[in-house]
Amino acid sequence: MNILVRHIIYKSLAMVFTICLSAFVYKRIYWIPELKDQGPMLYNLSEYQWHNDLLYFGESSNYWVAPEDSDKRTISDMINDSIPGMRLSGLQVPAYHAGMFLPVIKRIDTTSRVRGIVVTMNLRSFGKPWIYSTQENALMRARCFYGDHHPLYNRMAAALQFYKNPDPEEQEKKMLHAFEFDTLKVNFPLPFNTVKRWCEQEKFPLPGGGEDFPKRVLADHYIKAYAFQIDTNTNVRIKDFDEIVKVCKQKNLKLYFNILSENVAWADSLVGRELVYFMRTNAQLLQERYTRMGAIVINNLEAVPGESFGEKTWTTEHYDQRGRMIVAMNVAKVLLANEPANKKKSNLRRH
Amino acid sequence: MLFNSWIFFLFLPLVFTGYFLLPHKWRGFFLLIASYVFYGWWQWEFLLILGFTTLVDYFCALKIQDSEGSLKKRWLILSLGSNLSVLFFFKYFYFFFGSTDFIQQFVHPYPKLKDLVDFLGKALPVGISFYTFQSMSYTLDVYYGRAVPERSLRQFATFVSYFPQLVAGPIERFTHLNEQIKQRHFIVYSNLQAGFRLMLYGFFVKMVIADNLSYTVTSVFNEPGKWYFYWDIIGVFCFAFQIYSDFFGYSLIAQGVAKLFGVDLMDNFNRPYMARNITDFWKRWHISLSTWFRDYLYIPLGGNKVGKAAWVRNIMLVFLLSGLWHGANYTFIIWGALHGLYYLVQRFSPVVIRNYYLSAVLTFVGVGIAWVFFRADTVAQAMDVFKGMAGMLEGKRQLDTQPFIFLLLLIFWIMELARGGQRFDAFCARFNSFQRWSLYSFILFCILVVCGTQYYPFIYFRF
Repeated sequence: MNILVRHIIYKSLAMVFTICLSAFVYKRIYWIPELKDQGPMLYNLSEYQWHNDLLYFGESSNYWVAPEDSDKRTISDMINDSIPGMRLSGLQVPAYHAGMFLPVIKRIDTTSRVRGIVVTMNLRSFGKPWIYSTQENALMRARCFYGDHHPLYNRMAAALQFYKNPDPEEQEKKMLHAFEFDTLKVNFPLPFNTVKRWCEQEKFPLPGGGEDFPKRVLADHYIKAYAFQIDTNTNVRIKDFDEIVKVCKQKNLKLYFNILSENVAWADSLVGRELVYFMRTNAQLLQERYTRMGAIVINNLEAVPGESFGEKTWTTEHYDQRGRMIVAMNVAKVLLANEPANKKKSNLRRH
Repeated sequence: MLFNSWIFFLFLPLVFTGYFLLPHKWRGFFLLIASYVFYGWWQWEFLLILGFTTLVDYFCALKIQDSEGSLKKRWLILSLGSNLSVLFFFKYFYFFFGSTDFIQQFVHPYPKLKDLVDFLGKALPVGISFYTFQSMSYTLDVYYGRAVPERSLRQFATFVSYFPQLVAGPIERFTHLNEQIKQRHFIVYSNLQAGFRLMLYGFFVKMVIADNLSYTVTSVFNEPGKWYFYWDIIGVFCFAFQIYSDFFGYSLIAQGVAKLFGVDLMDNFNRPYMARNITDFWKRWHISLSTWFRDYLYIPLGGNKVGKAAWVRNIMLVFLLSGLWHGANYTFIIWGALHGLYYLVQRFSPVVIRNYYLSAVLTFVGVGIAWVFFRADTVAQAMDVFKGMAGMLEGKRQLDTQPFIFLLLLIFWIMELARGGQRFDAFCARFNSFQRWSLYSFILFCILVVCGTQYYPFIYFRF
């Protein structure tokens, strides 16, 4: 054999050996500590799925607590405490959405103890500000760590940007374009047919002249967050949720969607009932669509009263202990009605 | 397209295969297309600027060659003026005028104009300073009779846009690079060997060393004074190595990629932190830029063959412009001015430090202090970092830097010491096959297992 060819073969083998060794060492030694940091949801799943009947997929809404709360439990903990005979744990990372839950749900082992999952459905995550969020790059990078490949492959995919890496400026442009040109079609007279025009028409005059600027900013923010109509053919979040439904069917997991509460009362008083109309219509659309597809949808949109929202100057789904309890009870009620395990008392150790 | 991105790992084998499969007469054109694809991957609109620079310098160089006396000079001025205008327009306009009240008030009633001014403030074509300087050196060389103008527009465009070194150098000279690109190349085992060695070490230096230092540096510079004072010192120390390994890594990969195609790019670094004084440092740091300023600014201004006052002026001008070349910010100007001052202090100081180690440490400290301005976004931020380093901000937090990063830094330093003045490919040739492959395996292992996983574009891309 030609010496050069032999050289190339030896060297290729040495290279392959090094890669295999790296893959082995990485998985055995470095993967878990890195996953804890870079892919916490999968890290928790790897443990929780063996001890829980149900898993709760959420974001910051699950664990946010108001400073004055005496009950610091998360929504998922409250649910867990209200469903005797079953165990439920929460998997949550701030700013996560269905596109991030999906790869983790795909990794649920069918031989594990998990029989069902509760996935939070955040209405705002269907809107343009979230879809075109500048945080999307970081989320997509984190998503690499949830891939169904060898951990070293996932790591290199993140390091070499093998993920959708949209330019933040482009993202912002797309969002502004949508605000300007995406028309809102309703069957009642609406004096403004785009988000931009709507924002421009909102006025908050002060008695002594001038304008209440903070209120105006907040109203703009509310309009941008909620004034949209979900197009089930194009909305990326719909695609993610559809895929979640499909995966759960394949894995024989019972699927619950928890439509999170929004500050509807505040939206009404700040902007008006037109905005509430969009919030309600979108929530209803989601409820009908996913009920039709076989999921159980818990519509908490208006369940939490305005005073239980932790942050009044921004649109968040952060509730105080009363708000969290309301959401948890609504979810627990549905779980108790649908999960057979509650009929027999479990003697499993609670964590 | 970033070197440390998956798309480049597709792009390179495709270009390599395509290049060597094509007949020689088509290769230049293919390389030009590949280079434009490489550059346009960021934002294709910026190809227009690259094309404009190329066209202007191509025609001006031909006219310079065919003209005499003042006409010749006018063509040179047209070329330099166009290049500097483009550079000024995209890089410095907003800095000098865009943010001033006058301009803002003037453009306020005209939203389109305001958008344009704001766009200039944000948009910076990648590597514009690098290819503009490379292209300018060509017309200057033609003017001074050091180069014969290229008659083929396609060939000249390939020289300006040659993808391995397009966005962050080394800033090559026409006579060095163009002839090499033109030559008929074959797949040569030794070139592949050297190319892969350089690339491997380049990726190690960038992805393992520079990217892992980023967290400490970013934490310290984003919140100076939040940490115990020694973290501010460590942060600055880390930045000195981050910027070196980031840029050095890029240069090595660029050299390695070019070597695969049979082209030798110049060395851009020669272990700069082992410099015994500031003069020595500038002979080792970003060599292609420092020699550019020497050949096209310092020497035409008279160099050191002028009076003391004029020489001081020349030195300060070179360093101030070198600072400004990096970016439109007062921090870069201060960075340049500091280096100029160091140079003057070294020249006029009555004290000469004969001990190499002491001298090298002092040089490193001086360079490190200047790096604070280079890294900071504003002068105020730089001052906060200094205050933090002096313990004046009462920060009381520990930074959770992983200790293994310092081990990696030590390994890198040992490798730098071990290779002496040799380039990494030549250094590897010292060892037998087993030792060499053990080294490659170790480097590859580090890249795979401990490289940074965040998004870290090369620092010098923004210049």
